[in-house]
Amino acid sequence: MIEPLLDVRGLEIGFHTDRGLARVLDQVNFSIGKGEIVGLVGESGCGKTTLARAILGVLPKNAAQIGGGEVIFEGEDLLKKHPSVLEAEIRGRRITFVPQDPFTSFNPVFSIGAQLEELMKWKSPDADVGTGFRFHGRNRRRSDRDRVMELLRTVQLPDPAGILRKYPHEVSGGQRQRLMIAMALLPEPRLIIADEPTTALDVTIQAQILKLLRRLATEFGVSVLFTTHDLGTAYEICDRITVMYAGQEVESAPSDEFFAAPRHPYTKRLLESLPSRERGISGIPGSIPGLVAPPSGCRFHPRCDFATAECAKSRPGVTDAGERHMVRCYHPVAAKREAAE
Amino acid sequence: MRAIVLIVNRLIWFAPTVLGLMVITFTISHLIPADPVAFMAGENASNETIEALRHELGFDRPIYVQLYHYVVGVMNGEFGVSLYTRRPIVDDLFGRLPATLELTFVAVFVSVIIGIPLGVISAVYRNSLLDHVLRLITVSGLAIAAFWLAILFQLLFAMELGWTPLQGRVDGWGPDEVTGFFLIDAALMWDGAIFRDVVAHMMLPAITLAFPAMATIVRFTRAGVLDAINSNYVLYEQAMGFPRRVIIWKYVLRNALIGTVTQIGLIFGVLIANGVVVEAVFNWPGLGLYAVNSILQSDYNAIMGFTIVQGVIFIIVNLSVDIAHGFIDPREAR
Amino acid sequence: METAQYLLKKLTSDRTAALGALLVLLLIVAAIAAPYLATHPEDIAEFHPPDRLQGPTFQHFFGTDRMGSDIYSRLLYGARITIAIAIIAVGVSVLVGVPVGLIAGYYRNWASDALMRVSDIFLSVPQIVLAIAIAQTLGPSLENVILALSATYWPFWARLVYAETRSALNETYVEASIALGVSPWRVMLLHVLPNISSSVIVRTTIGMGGTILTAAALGFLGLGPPAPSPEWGRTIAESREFLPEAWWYATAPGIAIFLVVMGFNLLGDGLRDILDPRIRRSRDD
Repeated sequence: MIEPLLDVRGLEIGFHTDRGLARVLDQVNFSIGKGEIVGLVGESGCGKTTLARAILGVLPKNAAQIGGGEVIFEGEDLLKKHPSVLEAEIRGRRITFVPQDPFTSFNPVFSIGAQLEELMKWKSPDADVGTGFRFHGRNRRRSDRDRVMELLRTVQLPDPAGILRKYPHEVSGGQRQRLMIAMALLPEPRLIIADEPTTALDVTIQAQILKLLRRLATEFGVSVLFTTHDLGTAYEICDRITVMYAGQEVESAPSDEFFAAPRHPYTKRLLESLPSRERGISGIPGSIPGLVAPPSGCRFHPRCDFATAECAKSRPGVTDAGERHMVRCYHPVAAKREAAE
Repeated sequence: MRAIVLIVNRLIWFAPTVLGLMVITFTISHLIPADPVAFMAGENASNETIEALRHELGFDRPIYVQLYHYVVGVMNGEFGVSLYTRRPIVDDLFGRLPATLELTFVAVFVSVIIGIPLGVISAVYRNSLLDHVLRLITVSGLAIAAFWLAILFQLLFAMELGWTPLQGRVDGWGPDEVTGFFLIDAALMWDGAIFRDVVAHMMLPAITLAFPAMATIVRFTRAGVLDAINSNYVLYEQAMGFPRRVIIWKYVLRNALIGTVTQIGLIFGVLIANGVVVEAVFNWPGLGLYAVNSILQSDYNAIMGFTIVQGVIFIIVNLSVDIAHGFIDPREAR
Repeated sequence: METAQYLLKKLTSDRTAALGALLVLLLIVAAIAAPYLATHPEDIAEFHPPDRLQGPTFQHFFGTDRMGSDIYSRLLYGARITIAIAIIAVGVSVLVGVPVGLIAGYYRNWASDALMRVSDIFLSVPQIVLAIAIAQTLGPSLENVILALSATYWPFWARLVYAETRSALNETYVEASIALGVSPWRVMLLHVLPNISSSVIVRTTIGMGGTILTAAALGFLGLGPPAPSPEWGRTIAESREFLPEAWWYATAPGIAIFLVVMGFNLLGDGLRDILDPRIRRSRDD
């Protein structure tokens, strides 16, 4: 088994709320291989954004509490590293970020060019690692600018020079997200964490951005952690998909296998809830549990057709369900080839 | 560019606003319960004398004619003659202006230099002991009567401790007047003793005046920084590993400051308002003290002149702040 | 009633707001019960020169002033003046300014533009400057101070309510009401007013504090109720010539002003946190 680029083991995170400690992530296992695009799929509140932020190390300091687990990246546990090391070496360098809302993620009072220059100053592959005082010499600036222009062309932005002069509110949503992708690639990272990057975009633009991201990830040999609540989007771009429910990961499989032969009851229900002519529109009875006092064991058990007493007692371990296909269930659904929608 | 349209719009309204102010002061000055002419003519004047004086001064003309002449007079710089100093009021006012302006500018400077960093720190170390102490001080600062604070400072630092002079702007003649701003003039003279004297006299009034202004600045800066810190762009910058101090002191601060700058107008209003009583307590020879003396002398025209001048200053400051805001916020420029 | 209970519960849980409410309550009690709480109630009119300028004792909690009167008792009666000025001046300006702003914001015609321009002119001068001019012209008295403060404060409310009415009118449900033919009065009273009420309430509370400070400044300058009124600002002015020896003379009224204004400010801040949680998250904690 090749060692994965990123290996999250038993991660447990709680958030302090008015009503108590919300157990947002419950012993989550998750991994990404080199050059792999992995989708993290789940409904709002399932913990996918929290997992993404935990990997980056940007959880809200006071509210979040790490209960245990490891986040192994390139052989090192990020949770054990000093925050300043994470800031200097990992974030924006080996792991970069594409946010959900490109509009509010740009600083509104600085030009796009200024913000890119700042990024290059600290995170360019030529830049020294560290966050001490930085002298950004003219030669470095020129080479940085060349690199930026090239990447802007790669993400198919028209008039790169003109865009650098503009302010964030002066460019379109699609252009902003292309910029974000460019910025994520500039430091030549190993892993890009894209948190619902197309949710805030128009549908027609979504497809373009997805294709672009996939192409560039392959081209640059970068792994991508892609979170989304939209299964269709996940199918478009991901090599492998992991499903989360209420803070627990329940199934993980290569894309095709995922859609053809889902094993976890929740996954199956999720796929069935995609509107289609045959099935009509259906949902899953019940609602997502609160995380302060979540259901014990497998958190889906109150809504699951196949649940037994075992399911409430303890959380199911990892079961192999095929080629790189894992499921966490005591009663996985029989492998039945479904027509992919 | 929208900024230019905004500026032109505000400039157009400058004149009518000042005009309106004159109308208001004119109206107020005609609220005098007693007959001003009789007052001026003296107690023993006969009716004939009073009427003659009325005609001479033009008080028998219709109101709108009087208003017209009043406005024209003011625009020509004629506010009338002060009952107290017996000089043209306009000369009095412009003579006192530098002292007030200097004090106000120093107070603004002090409150900004100290207030903004404190606001940033208060926000970044939210809910820490320092934050709570600062919030306590700022809330207090906004509840203290300026004249009382002035008296307290005077009591403590000048009377009890003897660290600063009691009042006034200088002992003796002061520096040779070049700009009217004694700090500059004293510096120009290269005379250490006079400079120290000027600074010593300025300390208490400036700090007294700066205190509530600083409280306001700390509060607004804190709020602006908190807003910015909770924003998505800060999250992005953090996620991309921007050094924390760059995030705060460059990116957060710039956003927060835009909000604070627009408060400068508000702060100036506070400084002008408090300036009246602070100058009174410290005997600072500025517009405020002039107003206070005019009150004591029932010098109505002088009060009106003072009102108009302070009004114009305030209008100009607010105008400048609006213009500045249009320029520094790129979202306004389009 | 339910809202009142909710409000009370929230107020007491927020410590600083509760403190503010307490201070305001103290002021009200002091004002109303002055004749009973005062140790020397007659001292607002009588003088005892032989007792003048004595320091704080058991007989005179805050000492005596230049006429030998008990400062503590005079402070209590001064509370009456303070609260009267605050309530009447703020009350009048709100009662005038809010309807003006509401109507002007609803009917956007030349009349409302003119009214707003007039308000702008008033607001182009710091309040106290104009108030001095008015109070000076009319002569120093309690009524004139209240008049001067009201006349210079209503434009603030008119402007504020005008802006908030305009933005409330942009809300879809209000547009819908108007389209359905709901009469202007109903729209204004039932739709717009409730939405701006929390903002008005908060600012009214904080405005009380500001008004008290301005009124005290006017009293200090001699434009308030004339001697022998126990008005707080005037008392501080009287004390000046006896400093630094008679320190209690200036300190007591100053602390009174401070506590009262602080009370209104804290209460206002607390109300803001309770009534408008949206703002709360970005402003404070």
